[in-house]
Amino acid sequence: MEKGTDHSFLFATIGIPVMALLIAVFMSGCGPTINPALERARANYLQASQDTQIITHAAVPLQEAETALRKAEKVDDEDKVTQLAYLANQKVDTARAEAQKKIAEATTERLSEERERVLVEARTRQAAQAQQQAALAQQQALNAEARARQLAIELAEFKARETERGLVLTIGDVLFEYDKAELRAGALRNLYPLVTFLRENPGRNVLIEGHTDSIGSDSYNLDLSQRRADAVRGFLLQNGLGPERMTIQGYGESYPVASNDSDAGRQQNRRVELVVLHEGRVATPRIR
Amino acid sequence: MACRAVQRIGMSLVCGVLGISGCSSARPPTETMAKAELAIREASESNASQAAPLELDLAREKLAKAKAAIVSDDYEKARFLAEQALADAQLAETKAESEQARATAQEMRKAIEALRTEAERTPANATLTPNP
Repeated sequence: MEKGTDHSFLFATIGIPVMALLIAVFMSGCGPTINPALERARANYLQASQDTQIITHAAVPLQEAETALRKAEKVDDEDKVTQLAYLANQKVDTARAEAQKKIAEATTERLSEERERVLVEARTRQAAQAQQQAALAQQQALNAEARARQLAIELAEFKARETERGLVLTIGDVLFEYDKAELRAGALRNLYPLVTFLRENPGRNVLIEGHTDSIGSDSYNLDLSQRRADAVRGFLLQNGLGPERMTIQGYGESYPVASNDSDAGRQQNRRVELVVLHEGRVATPRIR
Repeated sequence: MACRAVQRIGMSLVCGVLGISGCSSARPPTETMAKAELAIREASESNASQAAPLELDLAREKLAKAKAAIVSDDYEKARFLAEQALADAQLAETKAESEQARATAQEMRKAIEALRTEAERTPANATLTPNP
């Protein structure tokens, strides 16, 4: 009994601490060791594995990180655990970078399509603009043509004749009283189409020729014919046509267009002839 | 030296015959080192020195140390370092590629912006030059 008591005492005094120590050593050997590098790698992996972008775009490096972590949990050697933890950690970071790369690439693709759209829009707009411009130009051409036609109709009222010298308009003495050189007020209206025509054809100069019948002296008639031509010139000047475009010439009774023996013939001879010269020509003396 | 070489050959033979994985530390990690070397070169070429200078430097440093470890026959250390160098270089390269992709997207964004600005400067109803 005494011996047993001794054994119990020995066990109590020495055995318990030894047991505790043994248990502690045993526990530390098989329980989860705390490796800071592994803990960091695990946390990093956990965070990344919940990121849908990384799961979608960087499955491979994420899988590699997981494999390294699994291995790390199985090995005992502390250095190997740290090594695998390091590799796992780098793989997780690689997965993050890979996901960012894929996102940027997708963005570029989307932007590329957008750029294509913007380019198409710009081209469409340019085409529409060109079309609009063409339509406007066509309209302007049509307007000009219509105006020219209208003018032609109006000029026809002067019984304009196309000759080698140009367009010859004869203004009879409907414009002038017998022995007078002043334009009749009512007659002015008839000259407006001519003004318009000359304005729209700035390259065409005009020669104004005055004529009379044979009643009266030659010198008187020459003077009268000149005054009549001058009256028409004054009217054109008032309407804004440049003096450099007009040349006047009085011919008196020298160039009758009808017999001076009758009233009707003399009326025809009392006239002003306007020669709208061909484009760019200047007045030349009359040749009969 | 001769003794050491004989020892190395012997170990290689044993490992080769038995195929024991635990023997890996007895062989120089030539394959991993070659991979790391290649990854470092690729990373350098993909502009990693600017996008991920730290990782690239680490990779180079570790590869150099791995080479030194091989010289002093510490194959285990060499393998560890080579593996790390490879992981670092791959991370550096991916970071560089990511940065490059980001820059490309940014350029595209600017190009679109420029196109839009230009389009605004020439509106659809631009003033047409009237014919005289």
